[in-house]
Amino acid sequence: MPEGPIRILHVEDDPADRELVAATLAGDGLPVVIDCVDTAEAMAAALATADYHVILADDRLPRFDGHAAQRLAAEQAPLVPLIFVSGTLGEEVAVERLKAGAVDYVLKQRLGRLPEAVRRAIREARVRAEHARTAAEVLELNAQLEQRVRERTAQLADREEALRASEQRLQSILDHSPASIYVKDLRGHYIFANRLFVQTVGMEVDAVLGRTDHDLFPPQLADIYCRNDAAAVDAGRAVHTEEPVESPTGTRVYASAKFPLMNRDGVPYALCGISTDITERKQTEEALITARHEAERANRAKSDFLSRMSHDLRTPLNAVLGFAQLLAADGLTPEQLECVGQIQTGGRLLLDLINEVLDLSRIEAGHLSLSPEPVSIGEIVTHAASLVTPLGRERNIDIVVEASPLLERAVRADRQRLNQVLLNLLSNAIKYNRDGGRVTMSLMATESRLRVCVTDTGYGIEPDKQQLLFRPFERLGAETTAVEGTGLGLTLVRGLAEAMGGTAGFTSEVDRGSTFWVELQLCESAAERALDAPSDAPLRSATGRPATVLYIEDNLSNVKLMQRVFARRPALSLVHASDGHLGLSTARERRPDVILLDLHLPDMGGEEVLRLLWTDRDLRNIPVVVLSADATSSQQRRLLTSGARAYLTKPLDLARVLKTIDSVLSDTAIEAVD
Amino acid sequence: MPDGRWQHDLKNELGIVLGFSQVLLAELDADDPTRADVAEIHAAAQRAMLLIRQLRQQHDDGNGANGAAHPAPR
Repeated sequence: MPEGPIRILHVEDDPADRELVAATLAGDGLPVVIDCVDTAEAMAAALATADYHVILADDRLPRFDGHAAQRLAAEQAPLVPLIFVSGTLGEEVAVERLKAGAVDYVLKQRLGRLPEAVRRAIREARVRAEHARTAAEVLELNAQLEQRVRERTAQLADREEALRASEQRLQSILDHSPASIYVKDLRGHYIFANRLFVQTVGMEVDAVLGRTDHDLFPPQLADIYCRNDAAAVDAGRAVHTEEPVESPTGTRVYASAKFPLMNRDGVPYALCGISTDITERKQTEEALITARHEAERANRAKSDFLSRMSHDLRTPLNAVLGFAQLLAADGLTPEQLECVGQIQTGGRLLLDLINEVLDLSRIEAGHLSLSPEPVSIGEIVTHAASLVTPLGRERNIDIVVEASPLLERAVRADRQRLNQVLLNLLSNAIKYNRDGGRVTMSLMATESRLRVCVTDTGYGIEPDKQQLLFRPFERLGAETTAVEGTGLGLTLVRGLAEAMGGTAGFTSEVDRGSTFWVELQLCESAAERALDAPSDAPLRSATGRPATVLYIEDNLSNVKLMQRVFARRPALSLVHASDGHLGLSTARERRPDVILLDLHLPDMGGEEVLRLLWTDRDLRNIPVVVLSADATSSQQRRLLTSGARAYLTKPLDLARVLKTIDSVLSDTAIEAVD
Repeated sequence: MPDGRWQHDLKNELGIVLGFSQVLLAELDADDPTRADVAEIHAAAQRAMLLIRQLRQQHDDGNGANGAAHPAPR
């Protein structure tokens, strides 16, 4: 039973019957509230405004009947049970009403059955309502399920579409890739191949899939591919390799990246390869390498050529300078002496030129041999200044080294080359100065570098000409003046400075002068070293103890020159040998006091002669002075450590030759003299 | 470095040496003891000039540096 009163709509026109029904139900203890109506309009209005548990309906009313009431109830309140309460309802009508949906019928004469009929109707209505609710819930669930199925289906369709799009995208990328891309199973059967791959193979994709390399390629190539595949699978990672591929135009080279495809457990199930045609690149690389080798070979050849030329020209220059030196020491007239002076100047310039050309070519080829060491800057600067002081004096030009604590410092440089650089800068500063001018050497330092500045009081360089300054053979018009020069000095200064890890540069002001500088790496202290200036005093002196000098030299002009030098020293006797073997046998025979050894002999190198002298117990103690056109300090060091007592470079300074011989004879240990 | 330029410069300087040695030879008496030395200078300068001509020739024939054969008899 419902909680609270049972709401009943009673369709009845007779007030007595209304009361009787109410009384019967109340009498049975049913808590009822009854609304009574007797027209279709009133019934419709009642159903529209209230919820009823049961409808009781008389079958025959003056303006209404049971059938219409039943139809109205079915329309407006289909779930509310309807019981016919009638005095006249015949069996046939009753069956008809029950068929049409009425739950029961009670004859007015037997109203005692009504309470039970109402109770049952309410119970059954509740069961029906329960069923209906359950059915509705089932329907609802069903609908929800169907909705979810629909949504899921749509989702799957979307995903399938996305997958298809992704596959298409991937396929498109693979097909337009400039590389051949392929996948093989672990037995080597192709399971994927992109467009370029099938084009390269020259088959349809279907004809490729399922085949192996041995089906598609010549056996020796297929073997290579299979080996590379196996290497990638074994390594468990990408392997990069170059693979040859046959093509109608010949063998091409591919760069292949091959890597295993792994399942979720990290077990390889296939091999993927990406191969790019690098034939052109390889050819370009090879062409570049060949070109580089060719350029290097040409550079070497040029350097060798210049080296030979330098050596070959030194021999006649040696004679020119040597004989000129002898002439200058003889009693000539002032006019004749001037001629000799011109010859000496020309000879020295020639020597500078071939030396500088050779140095430049070595710098260009990167073959300049340097012996970097800590060099005391004070020592080298004052030495260079002292060397050019006489040159300056000729034109009343003062050479000044500015006092500075930096003079105590050292730079990392090749001593001989740095000296060459400073002499170049100083001689320029004198040559392009005014008479009575001044050349100042000053130092500046940063934390790690030291700059040596050479400042002149010359005419300066016009701005538009400054960029030409370091060009080889560029003399900015000086070639038409009396100022001598090769036009290579500054090119060489910069080249040498850079080869020693430094730089060179300048500033200039028209009419005020120029400052040229070289900047080098500062370093810790430098060893002291004595540098001496040449003097021709030995040529003039005729003293000295008697001694025999063996001269091993093949060039007769040099021999003749040396004979003339020795003619000035009657105490010295010169013995000549024209090759290495002859030199060794003469040494054994005559036991000379000193040996002068040329390094370039027709039968063996001077170094070999030196070694053979050294291995002969009887000859080992004879001091050897090496004469060579090779002025590199590494060569000097090598020979001095191989047993040479002194090393003199060609063209020979004759005074120095005699001085060296004197020193050796008086058993003074001397180092390389240059 | 401009090839050939330095060879030109070499010839110029050698020309000076040759010229002054010729002047001296002309000035010195036939029996002057220093004449032999001047003759040596003159001969050496001529040898150097010949060497430079040969180098120049080689340079023109085989672009110089590539024909790195020994340029002159010793």
